Amino acid sequence: MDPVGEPSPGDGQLVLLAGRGDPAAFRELVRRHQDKVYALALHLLRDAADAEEVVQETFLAALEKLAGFRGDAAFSTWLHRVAANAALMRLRRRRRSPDGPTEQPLEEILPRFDDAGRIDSTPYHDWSKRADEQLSDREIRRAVEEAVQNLPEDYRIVFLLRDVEGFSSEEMAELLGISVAAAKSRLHRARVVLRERLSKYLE
Amino acid sequence: MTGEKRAIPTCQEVFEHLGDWCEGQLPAHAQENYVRHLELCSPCANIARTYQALSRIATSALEASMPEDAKERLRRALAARVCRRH
Repeated sequence: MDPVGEPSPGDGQLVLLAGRGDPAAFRELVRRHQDKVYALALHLLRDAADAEEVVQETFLAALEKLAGFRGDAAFSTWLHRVAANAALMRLRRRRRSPDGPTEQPLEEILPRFDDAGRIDSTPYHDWSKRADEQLSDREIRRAVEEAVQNLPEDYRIVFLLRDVEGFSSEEMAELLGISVAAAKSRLHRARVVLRERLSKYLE
Repeated sequence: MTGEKRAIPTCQEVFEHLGDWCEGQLPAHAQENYVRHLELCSPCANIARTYQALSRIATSALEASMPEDAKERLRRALAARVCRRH
């Protein structure tokens, strides 16, 4: 709602107006989406300056493409895909840090199963409610953030794209240039590793 | 989890299909048997709940806003591009 109580126009309407040269409409689109686009780029790149450049590239690209968008959902979806692509291209250009997080063998993390497929006797606790309740605690938020950011890079990227940014498995696979099956398998591994790391902190 | 013959999946099968279960992509017959396993097996149920919560917890913990000075630089960059177009 705007200050006089009129319903705010949807993205589709703003895109239409911006495409006809209305600068206020484009400014409003930027205002609505800049934080989410920035967060996406920041989490993927882990560098504020690089994230800022990706946001600029993304909105400059949007400015050129305004005439091609239709509907409320199309603009936001397109914007996030362009930002993700730009961030992933930067990641590919970076040389992998030799002292970055390495993949812990999954066998060391997985529960053990007997010949009949029964799980081992390790006590597994449900800490999900505790995590939800304590997420306002800065220390807990920091621990979760660090656990995500310290995942091996391939795992971190799929987890961020799918579970934080909400790309579909198909979109994630396309962005990464891998099959949907490979993307899902990598995501499962990422979740298993993250769950294990958070368990140590939250149990 | 691949056939309809087995009534309830093993713990190992439940673990291997956590992703499909989370995303509601199990076939209907497998979904019923999967949930039945979780009702009967507290270790698997606890693993499943925490696995399912990861997205929610991480999304909340990773919220971030663009710094105001960066917003101002973005505004200026976009304004300069608009000026060049006209």
